[in-house]
Amino acid sequence: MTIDWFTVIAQAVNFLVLLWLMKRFLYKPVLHAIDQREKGIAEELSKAETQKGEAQKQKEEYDQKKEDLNRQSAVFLKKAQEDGQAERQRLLEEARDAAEVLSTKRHEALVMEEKSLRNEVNQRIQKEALAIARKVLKDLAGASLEEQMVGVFTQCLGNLDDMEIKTLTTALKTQPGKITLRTAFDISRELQITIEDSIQKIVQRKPEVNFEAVPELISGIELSVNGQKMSWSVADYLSSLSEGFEDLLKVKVR
Amino acid sequence: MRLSPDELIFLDYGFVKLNATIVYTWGLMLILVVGSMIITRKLSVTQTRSRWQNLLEILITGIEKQIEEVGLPHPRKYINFLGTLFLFIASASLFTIIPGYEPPTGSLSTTVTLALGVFIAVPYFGITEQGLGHYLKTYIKPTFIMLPFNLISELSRTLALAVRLFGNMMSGAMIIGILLTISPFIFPIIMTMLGLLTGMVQAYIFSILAAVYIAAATRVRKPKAETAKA
Repeated sequence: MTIDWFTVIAQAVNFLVLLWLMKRFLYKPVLHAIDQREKGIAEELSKAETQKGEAQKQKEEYDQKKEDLNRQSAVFLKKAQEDGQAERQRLLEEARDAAEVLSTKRHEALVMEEKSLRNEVNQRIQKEALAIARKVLKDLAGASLEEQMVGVFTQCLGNLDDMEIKTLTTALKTQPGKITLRTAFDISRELQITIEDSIQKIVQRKPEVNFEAVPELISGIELSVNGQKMSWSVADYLSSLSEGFEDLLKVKVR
Repeated sequence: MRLSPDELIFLDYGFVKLNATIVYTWGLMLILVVGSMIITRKLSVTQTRSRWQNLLEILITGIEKQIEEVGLPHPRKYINFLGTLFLFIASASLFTIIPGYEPPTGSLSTTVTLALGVFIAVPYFGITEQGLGHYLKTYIKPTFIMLPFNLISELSRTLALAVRLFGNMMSGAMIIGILLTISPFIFPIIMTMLGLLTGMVQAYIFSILAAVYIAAATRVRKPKAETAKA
């Protein structure tokens, strides 16, 4: 149990060597590793903090943008609604105008139709009336309707006042051509002579009369000299009947 | 009956003797250094690390914390000396589980060496920390009458360190040796376990005392008023 001084010296050397080796191979690398890790963790943490800050900033930015977008979209929506309303109004007005035009056209078409119908009715009435009159006259007096009409016409000629006679003679004088007499039917030579005689009585000279048959006249006689016209027609008698029909149709159209 | 591994001599050249203490110390050194080299060869600085690296880190940070708790604010300055002391004494005790091994700390020569190391290290750290003048002044405080007592205290505590460790380690080995002759089964195993515990406690005591002595020598004494304020 004594102290061996050589062992003491040897152990001191051993211990110093151990100190150096442990420092070299244990403490330095391990402490370095710990430090590095701590540094790494601190860096990670600070990075995370920075990223968090950035994320927060970005979030705020996005929130702001979202809010702006919402506001913008609200504005756009309102504008779109207003535009839509205006467009609707415009379309409605257009449609109304179009409907009005259509209605006007239809009305015009109806009026036209009415007019043509009326004309047709007039003509039919005239024809029928004439046919009836002709038949009645024929049955009653044995004379043809044409004769009666010529008779009436000559009577009319005879009843002309001075003013009318003057106009007629003046027209005849300036007109070197023939007098045109239009009838709805071909009249016999006797009737032509009767008419010519009546005219001669008025104008005091033998007229050159050109007889024309125009079926559109229905039943009537028309005398034309140099633009001057003189006529008698069943149409005159039918006008009151026609007016009655017109009134009736107007009521129906309404 | 051998009391110390010093007595087991392998080679003898007069003053120079290669005894078991030196050989076992070399063995311990080899294991400690090679083990450290192997583990620290591939150190990870990321979050994931090997189990062995984890063990070393726990050990080193534990030592660091202990040193700091004793009152040394910068433990890294002292961890090399104090940590190596602890690891050497602890591993010397730990390997007693290997049959035929005798701890080199069971030799008074080794413990004297370690105690002398502390005896030198205390003024070394004291002077580097406080400066020579301030360090020497600590011997005449509170008054110069205390100088001889302080010197005696320095010497006696060094002696105490050496003898304490030697006594404990030697007695442990001795008890096992005696018990083996009386009851060779089971009982020596229990005593070996007890010896392991004693060895660890001794390693702790030795390094903590060394740390306390160093802390006492390096502490810059502040005036009383300032201390009170602090």
